[in-house]
Amino acid sequence: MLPKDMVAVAVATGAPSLRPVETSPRFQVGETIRTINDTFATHTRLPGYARDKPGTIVGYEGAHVFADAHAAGQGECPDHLYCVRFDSKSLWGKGSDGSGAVYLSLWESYLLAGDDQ
Amino acid sequence: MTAMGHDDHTLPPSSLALRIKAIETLMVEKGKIDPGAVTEIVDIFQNKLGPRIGAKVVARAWSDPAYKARLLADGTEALKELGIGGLQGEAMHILENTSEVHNVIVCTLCSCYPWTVLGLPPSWYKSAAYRSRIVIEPRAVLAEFGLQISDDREVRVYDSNAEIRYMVLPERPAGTDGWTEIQLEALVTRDSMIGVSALTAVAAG
Amino acid sequence: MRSIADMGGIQGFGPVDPADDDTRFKAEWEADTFAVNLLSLAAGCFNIDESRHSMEKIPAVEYLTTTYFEHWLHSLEDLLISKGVFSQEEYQTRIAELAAKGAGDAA
Repeated sequence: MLPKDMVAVAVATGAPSLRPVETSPRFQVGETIRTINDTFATHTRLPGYARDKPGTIVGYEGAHVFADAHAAGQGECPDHLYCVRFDSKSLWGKGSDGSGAVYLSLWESYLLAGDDQ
Repeated sequence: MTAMGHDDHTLPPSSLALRIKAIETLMVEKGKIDPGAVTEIVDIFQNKLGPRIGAKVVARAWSDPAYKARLLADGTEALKELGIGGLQGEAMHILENTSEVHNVIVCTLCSCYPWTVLGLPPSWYKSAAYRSRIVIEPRAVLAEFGLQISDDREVRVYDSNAEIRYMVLPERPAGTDGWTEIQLEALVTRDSMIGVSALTAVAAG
Repeated sequence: MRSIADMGGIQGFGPVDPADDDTRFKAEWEADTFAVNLLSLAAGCFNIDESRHSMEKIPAVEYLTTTYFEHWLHSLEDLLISKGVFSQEEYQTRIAELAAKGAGDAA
């Protein structure tokens, strides 16, 4: 139970999802990737529109609690999280409405090396 | 807080009120919730957090190039310098709008939003229309907000799909040279920090 | 899962209405639902990812025809009962007791 007089502190502290992990990130900034094309019945943070799409790693966020596992009662299973850029044309083809890109935070298990496709 | 409620709900408001009251009283009896904490949370989110916090950050960044550099390099740490952090702002990136790039934020999967700097989101941010369309036709959606983005400018849409939260650093309006941080802060709108509006130049004088 | 909540890129929802601009709770039940959700998370009754998954499992038609905080209320009911914090019977009994006292009418 969170007591009333601890609420302000709890809100100002938050619940960071960053975790230390032993492994090194597999991808480097600048690398091209392709997202996986698996259809899960369970929770995932890989939006449907970004499945099986080519993108570029533009940032590394550290390892974060893996939402897919955490939602399924499997514990935190922290994994490397990247900022990935998808050019609008790659996502939408001719349906894109001009020069642009979508940026997503994607866990390593969503990503295949650009050559694996 | 006053009762409103007959507008857009599929169930009578009394049913919704009964359901949450039943949950709340059971949770209090089972020792999971301190009843005083409920009003405390509502007070924080209705009266203490909000976009004036983000506006202070923007004004500081416009006024202090070294702070702006730190803010863009590591938003989370630079916000901590101003005492800003916490729930739904644990890891922050600040996105700088320039003459070449326009940034806008969304959460297509639910309605994640940077509470620490902007408070709770406006209703349209949680709407199906905004969540579905901003990623595929951002120029059309921004035009619905009255914002025209020229073809030679890139639109970057940040979808807050994981636990990283974003805030847009809007372009400083022309005509504000020499303004104090307090003056600048008053210019900054919530929508400019979401990325659905730009700040217009200020007339001289 | 590719649920209706995963709506990025879906077409046909019509224009955004920038005038639909409320940031404040529209009724006391919305404020209570918001606060009880945060406090249930803080008490460890469920985690935030379970909460999001619970909302995306709402049937598509219901998801689109209920409001934002109704989704939150749905996930509270779903998770607190499925995790055994209280039972369906306790919950229905409490609602009936409150209804008999007219507690819902005030809000």
